[in-house]
Order: sequence, then C-alpha cells, then structure tokens
Amino acid sequence: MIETVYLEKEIKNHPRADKIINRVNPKRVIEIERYQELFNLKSQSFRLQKNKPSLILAKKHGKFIHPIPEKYGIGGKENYYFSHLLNCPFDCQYCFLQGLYRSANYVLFINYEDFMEEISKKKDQETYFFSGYDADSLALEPKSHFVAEFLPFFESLPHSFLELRTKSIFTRPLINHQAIANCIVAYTLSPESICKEVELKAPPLHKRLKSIVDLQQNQWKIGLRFDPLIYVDNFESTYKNFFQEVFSKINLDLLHSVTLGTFRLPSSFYKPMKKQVKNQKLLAVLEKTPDNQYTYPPEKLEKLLHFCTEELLHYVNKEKVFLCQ
Amino acid sequence: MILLTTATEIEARAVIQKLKLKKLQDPYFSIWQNEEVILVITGIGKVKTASAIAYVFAITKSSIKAAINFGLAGHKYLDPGLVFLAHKIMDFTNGKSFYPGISFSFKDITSPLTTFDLPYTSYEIDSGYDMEGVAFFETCLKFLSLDVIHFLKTVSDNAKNPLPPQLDKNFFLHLMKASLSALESLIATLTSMNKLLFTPPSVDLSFFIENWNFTESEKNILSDVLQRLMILEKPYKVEALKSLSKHEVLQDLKRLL
Repeated sequence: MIETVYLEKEIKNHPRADKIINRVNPKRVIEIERYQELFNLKSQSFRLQKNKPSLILAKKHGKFIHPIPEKYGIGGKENYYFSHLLNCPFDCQYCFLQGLYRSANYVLFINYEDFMEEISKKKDQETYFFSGYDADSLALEPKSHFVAEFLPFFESLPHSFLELRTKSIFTRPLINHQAIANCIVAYTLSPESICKEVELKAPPLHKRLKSIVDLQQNQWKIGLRFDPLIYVDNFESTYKNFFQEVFSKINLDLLHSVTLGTFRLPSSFYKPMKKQVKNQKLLAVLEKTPDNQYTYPPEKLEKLLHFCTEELLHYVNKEKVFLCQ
Repeated sequence: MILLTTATEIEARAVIQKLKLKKLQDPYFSIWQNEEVILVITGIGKVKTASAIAYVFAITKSSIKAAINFGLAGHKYLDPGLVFLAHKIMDFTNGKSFYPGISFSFKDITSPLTTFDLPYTSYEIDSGYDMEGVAFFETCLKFLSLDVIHFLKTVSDNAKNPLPPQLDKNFFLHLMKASLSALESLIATLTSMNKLLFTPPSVDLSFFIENWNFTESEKNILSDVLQRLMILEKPYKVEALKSLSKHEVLQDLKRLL
C-alpha cells in the first residue's frame, strides 16, 4: 500500500491526478514543485525506499519517445521506447534501475495525451513502441490505468505496435478488452528457482504462465523475454526443464517473438548497484568487458547463451528469436 | 547509533531520563549517550544547530545511522500535545523545501514544518513552526540519506492557544514526557530499517601492501577482487602467493573467481 503521494503543483487540478489519488487512497498528499527535487537528490537510499515506495505524480516535459538501443528490437525497423512510469514494485536483484536511479519511489507521468500525440506522429510507418524500459508496464495498472487508456489509442493506429513488458499477473484490463493485433504482451520469465532467489516480490513463474495462458485464450499475442539469463552451476538442467515447462503451455500460433540475453550491466550502473543489491553473489561473478559492460566471463557467457539458444530452437522457429546482447 | 537533537535542555530532560543517557565530558556541547542513542542539545537557531550536528558527526566518525530532531513546535491548527512527523521542511527565509523520506509505514499525523529565524507568533502559515529544522536537515544530509533524517515534533501552541508571556516549564516537561512513546517507536523503526542496508565486506590489504609494491590503481583492482572472493566464499591461501610477482598475484586471485 502506498502511504505517501507527492503531487507536482502544476498538475494538482488535473482530473487524472485526482482519480489516481482516489484509487491510491494515501495517508498523505504532499505538494512539490517538480519531481526532480526529490527524485534526483543524491543523498537518498534506493534500498530503504524499496521498503515503502512513495508515488510521485508528475508532468513529463521534453522528449516523450526515444530510439531503443541497437540490437534490442523484435523484428521492426523503427523502434522507440517511452516511459510513462519510472520504477517498479518488484525487487529484481539484477534490475539496472537500482544503478540508474537514486530513488526507488515511483514517478508516474500523468500527461498521457502528450505521449499519445508524439506516438501519433509516427502512425503512417510501421513502428514498434516499447513501454516497459523504466518500469513494469502492468504492475501499477490498478492505480495508473495506463493500459486501459492506451489500448483504445493503439487500436486506432494499426501500423504502430505496442509492447507491454511485464512480470505482473494483473491482466484484467487486457482480458476485459478485445485483443488487438498490434499489441504484444511480453512476459519476462526465469526458472522458478531463479525467480525465488532474485526476482523478489514478483509473481512466481507458475502464476505468470497462468496469466499467459489466460491471455492467449483471449487471443492476445504474447512475447517471451528470457532476459536476463542467469548463470547457475546446473544451468543446463535448470534451463532445459524450464523451457520444457514454458513451451508445454504456450500456444505457438499466438507467440509473437522470443528474446534472450544474458545478465549484463553498463559499468556506470555496476558500482551503485554493489551497495543496493541484497544478493551480492549475483554481481560478484560479473567481469568488466572492453566495451565497458559487466557480464559473465566469456567462457561462462558463451556456454549459457549457446545452450539456451539451442534449447529454444527446439520449440520456436529461429525467425521469431531475437538475441539482445 | 541514532542521533537525537533538541534545541533546549527542557526538551531533552524527559528523554535523558527515559533512555538513561549519560552525559559526556565535552567542552563545547551538552552531549548525552547510551549504547544506541547520542543526544546533543544544540541551542536555539540554525547556526547553533548546524554547528552542533556537524560536531557530533565529526566526533562519532561514521557510527550515526539515523537522526531525529525531537522537540516542541508551534502549529497553525494542530492541538497542543499532538505529536507529528514532518513530511516537508520549508525555510521561511529563502523558500527552499526539503522532504524527509517516509520509507516506512507511518499511520499517525504528519505535517509540513517551517523554519523561521525569529520566533513566529502570527500562526498564518499552514504548518508547524520551529527555528532549527532546515539547518538540522541540511546538515544531516551531508552525512545520511534523507530516508533516515526525521522530525518528531510535539505541538506546544497554536493560533487558539498561543504561548503565554511567562513560560511554564512544567507544561513543556509534561508535553515532552507524553511524546516519549512516539519517539521510542520511531527509534525502533529507524534501527530496524538500518538492517535493510547492505555493507559490502571490508577488505584488509595490509598483507599485500607489506609484501608487494602495488600502485594505487592495482590496489583498487586487488581490493575489488578480494571483496568478490569474500562474497563468493572462495578461500585463498596467502602463503602460497608469497613467491609470486605482484602481477602473478593478481592473476592468480582473479583466476579463483
């Protein structure tokens, strides 16, 4: 339960802010000038705030969509991400947000229409829009109604594809809506033992799989995101059994794409994360690469990636598999 | 250890008794301590507050993990005797605002708090009033994260119940005693929050520095490798390294990862 909401003065009379505050029903609403005066402050603890995150309601200014990094696509030529939300209620130990942000409080940009206006400018060419880069697309949905508001919008733009990236099992707004051809609900999945160990506060694998089955029964296109792959001593049996379990439940006709990539971090995130992450062993095995990333030593990385790619190709056509590395 | 600050002796008296604090022999400030808490009576106003806090942080090195400013405050509308946690601190002089991070469940009253340079008696601003808050927060922020810097204030007067010209010390003492349970609860909360923080294991390089002439950059690499070995619980035998060159030592240790 969110007890504290910070509200930018500029949007204090915005009807969406009112509705969100009513849904959150916080103990206190604190007026602020701009979200950066809290969110960007140096002396704060991401780890302590993860204990009880507050919600900051803000208005986004400047650029609303950004090109995605190279090699992170799922088959489209034009690819952008947008972030209506910063941070996430789950506590995945590998998450780069722990190194990117100083604060674990949620920032929700409520001027959805400005995002939509920017996205509309690309409506005549086939373009993919990724919504889950800086947050889980669905996890705050009961409060934000982001999906409920953006689905009808994307429905009207047949050449624009929306990827919702999530681990959430809150699928009601999707189930209640007729499936649309240009929306992909992409689930990040890990073997159950790894979920327990490092994806803290996130729904367990079997619940995510149940949500995928429900969504496919309602004709939603699904993406599977095996990213990050985590190196464990018995990774062969762990991932073999995991893929077997996942693909025993998936309807391949409604599978849009599969991505995979091993655990990696830009070096600028590694240092702050060392002070935040509970599961220190996860980071201690990483090594710095010449291109300024931290990842597994080459031998481990290649073994893990090769094995998982080969296993995946037993179940999925390679045209649907994309390597994000 | 938790740092408590009050502006005056009368605000500190009840907590000194309750927590059985012992006075330190200090030439500059009135400082009291037990195993978990260190209290400093700062004096009234921003400058005295900032200097007392900086002083205590200096003498205690890095053992302070959280700070609470505890004391009396005027308020526009809250009744005398009510205790509130400040959720926004405003400097009346320059309009700057600060936000203590309430990263724990707190169901009781919270309120803004405005810091003035002189006593404020017109009760027009919707908040609590004090003369130290901003200085307490800004100084503590040099040493701690905003999530562990808090204000627990007991309302002493409001627009309907202004302070009389002759102050009654017993009334203040009574108010402070009544707020002690809220203080103890906040101390317990901040103490337990500290357990959520991870401190990477510290590495002792003395053996390596005595036996090899590592550059500063090599010491950093060595420290990182040794720390990772500790986290991964991979032991190494120092005696076996003695016959190696410093580059071989680094290579050997890295190989263990």
